Amino acid sequence: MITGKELFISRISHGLGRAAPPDTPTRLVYPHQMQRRYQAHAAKRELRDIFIANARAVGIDVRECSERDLAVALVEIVRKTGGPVVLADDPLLTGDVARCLVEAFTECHIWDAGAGREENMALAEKAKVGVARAEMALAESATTLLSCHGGNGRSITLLPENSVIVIRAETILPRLTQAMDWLHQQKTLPASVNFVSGPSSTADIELVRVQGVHGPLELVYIIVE
Amino acid sequence: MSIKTSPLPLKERLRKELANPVMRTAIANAQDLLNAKRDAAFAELGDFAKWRETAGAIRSHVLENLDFYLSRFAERAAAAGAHVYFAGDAAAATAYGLQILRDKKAAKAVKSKSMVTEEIGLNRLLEEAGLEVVETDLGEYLLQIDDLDKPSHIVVPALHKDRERFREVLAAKKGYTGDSVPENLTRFVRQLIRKDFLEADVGITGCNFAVAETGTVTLVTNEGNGRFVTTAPKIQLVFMGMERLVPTFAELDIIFSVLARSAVGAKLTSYMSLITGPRGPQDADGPEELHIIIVDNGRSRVLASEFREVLRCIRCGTCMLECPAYRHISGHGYGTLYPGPLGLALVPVLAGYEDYGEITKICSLCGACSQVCPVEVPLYEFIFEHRRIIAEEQRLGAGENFLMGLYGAVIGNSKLYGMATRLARFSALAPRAGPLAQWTAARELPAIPKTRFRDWFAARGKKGNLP
Amino acid sequence: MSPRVSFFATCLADTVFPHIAADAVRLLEKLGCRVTFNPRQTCCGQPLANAGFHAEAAAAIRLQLEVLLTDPTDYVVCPSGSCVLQIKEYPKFFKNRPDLQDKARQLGDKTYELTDFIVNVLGRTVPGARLDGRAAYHPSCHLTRLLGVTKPPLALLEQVAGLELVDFKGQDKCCGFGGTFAVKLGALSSAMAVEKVENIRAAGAHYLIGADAGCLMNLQGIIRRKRYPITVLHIAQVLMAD
Repeated sequence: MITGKELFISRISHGLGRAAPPDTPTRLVYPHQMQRRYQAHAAKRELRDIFIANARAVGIDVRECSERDLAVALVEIVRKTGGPVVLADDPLLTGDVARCLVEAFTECHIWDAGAGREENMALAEKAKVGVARAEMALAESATTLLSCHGGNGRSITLLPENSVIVIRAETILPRLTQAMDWLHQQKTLPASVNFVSGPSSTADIELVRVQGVHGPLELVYIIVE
Repeated sequence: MSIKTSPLPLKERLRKELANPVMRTAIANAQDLLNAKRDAAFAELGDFAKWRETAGAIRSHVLENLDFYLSRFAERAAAAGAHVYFAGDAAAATAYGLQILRDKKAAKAVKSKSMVTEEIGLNRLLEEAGLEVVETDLGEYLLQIDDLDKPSHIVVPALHKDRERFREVLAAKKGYTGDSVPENLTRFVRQLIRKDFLEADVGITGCNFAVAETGTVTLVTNEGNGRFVTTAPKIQLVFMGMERLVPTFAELDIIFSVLARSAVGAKLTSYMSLITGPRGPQDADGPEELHIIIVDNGRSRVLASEFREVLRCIRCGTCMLECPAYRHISGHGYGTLYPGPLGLALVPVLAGYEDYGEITKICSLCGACSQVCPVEVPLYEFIFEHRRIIAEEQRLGAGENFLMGLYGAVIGNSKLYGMATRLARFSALAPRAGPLAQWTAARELPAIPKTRFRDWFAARGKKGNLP
Repeated sequence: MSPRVSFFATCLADTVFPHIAADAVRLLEKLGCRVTFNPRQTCCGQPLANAGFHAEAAAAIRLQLEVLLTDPTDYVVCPSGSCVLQIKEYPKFFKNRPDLQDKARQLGDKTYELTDFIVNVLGRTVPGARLDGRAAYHPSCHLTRLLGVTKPPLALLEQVAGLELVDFKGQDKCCGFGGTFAVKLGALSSAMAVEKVENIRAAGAHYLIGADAGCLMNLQGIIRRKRYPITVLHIAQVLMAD
């Protein structure tokens, strides 16, 4: 629903010296395209190295493994942090990974989009670790892109103290530019897309960086082949 | 709050701030640190001139097509299921927000930092109506519980406080018993606000930029409170200034790339949330209702004026960090919600010369702000132009008008100038009052020699040197 | 042919710091220029313009325009970046007078700040200057940021025998002068100047050197009040020192 548009927009049009909005906007000419040059010709392996270095520089724990070993890698992480664990409902996570985690730790829940808000959020709030898969990752800023909808609830990577984001190696792209291209190409957007580029942090007290304000205290990226 | 943040007159405000060594040290350190980080971040990015030219061109393009893009944004956001409300002024915006909260019988709202909600005085109105509003940005939270202290910077709002003050406030207001280590203070607040997040009925946010092509609103935060506010509560209210749009995601790329670097010297903030409509049918969390309130509140006047391009501003705060006057008085010295060079350029036209023309005095015209603005707002030129209009409208008082008129008459005439400069050496006899007292309070006046340069030049053939 | 230079002294140097203007003239002559000074000149009008009083500045602007264009010289040279900036902005003051705007542009095109003129027009350095000690150079805002003259003063100072240039914290920050700003908001202006002076002192400088008499007057006011042993010099004085 839209309310109060006519008068509001007409005031703007008048301010711009016309009676009504034009049918099409003027052409936007980019004076430069520097954003497209960043690592434009980098090989996948290079992008992955840049991504890893940049992630480690901002305090993200980065691990690499094959898809087969993902379960082992996660068990190792959860052994340190303790459970419970909440997993996104994603084919990469719900098979072997879920089975192994359940074997190793009693409490491991898969986000259930069919269940209600309260139930899911309560489990996420209790969980020590939340695990989700990223749509893609960006080398320049060590960013992961999370499409938060359906089985990948927003709370999974927000409420637990530890956040684990699984990245498929081939989805590592140069920078934000490529992520925006991808979003632009989507027919429908999920209601929530989150870019994560580091653990929750603040510098509000004397500009001293403190990790872990409202979101996760620790962030782990696992890159799978 | 509204645009005015202090009832004190200008000189009182400056006196008060200049006498606050804790604040002055904190701001100076913050400027030095954040400016160095910004410079390093842009050096790594490379091509700063190209980035800012492009970012500026994008913002300018949006302004010149704002009626088109706002219409498109509203249509697309509504198609995604959001309620879009156009609010002409602060009263309309806050009334709408209050009505939603009442309709939903909400008792508690959590809020992530937003300048426009401060501008329209949302918190006060909601609190007067008996609702609890919790600011969730750490700095804003501490200001809120410190008897509604005012932000001193638009990105790092409690920049003027040190850790000891944070500890005192938490101890007095929330029973904190720990030390003043930032990590411990932060953990304590985390626990407190976590409860609020989960209890709140409504989440209130601003909007860093909205994307016209998809009806998406965005929030950038480091703390993660932006994500929380858009995840836990069942209702979300988004307040956005009407100019905060980009046409497509491609432009969002450019703007976000310069925003985080300019604001805090980071490549991107820890979180950037893109919200398109309320939660989908398959989503368990996220708001069931999304209301987007688009606020004019004087912006259309700015758009129609010669100061249109100040609406390019992306609220990164870097002009404040660069400003040598801001350094000594913080945002509080300006007495306006938007301080620093941005405040000087924006507020007089947004809210009127009558109340806010005077802040344009807080500038030595050094030009540093214009050089760092990532969207090339001509801040220096705008401040200069505001001053012209203010003088022309005779808003500076009879005394100044007279003195300036006199000065103009003297330098506009060679003979008068000749006479006046011959008398200048007797200036030592003048009473230390008015402008002269402003100078001599902390500085010596130079002695004025008997012989002017022109006398020396004329007599040179005969005598040679200056006496 | 030796270049013919019309010297614009600035009201401040004319009245308060005549030795700066005199040294600037001697310096130009030493470098082979023929220097004239038209005594009908007064003030560029910047203090008025910066405070918003454009109408009040109009008479002075027209007067300088007339006086400085009358002299049959190749260049106008001025020992202040700030005043040169004002002259270069004269066209802005004649938005409705295309004839005067043209003249204003002509004047702007032939007007140079002293060090910019020496280095970029004459292509010269200054031989024989000597000053012993550590010096802090204050890059004034209008000269550096708005006119873009950053290197010439340093290039000239680097060749002064015995002089060691020291960097200091906040070197590129405004000194707080800002024309009428210094007397309208004196306390804030002084706070800016004090920080600058303390940083110069902390760097152990014996001399403070600048290319704008306004900034130097401001900083000198603090230095004298605090009785710091720092000598304040305009770059023209340094280049003429031996």
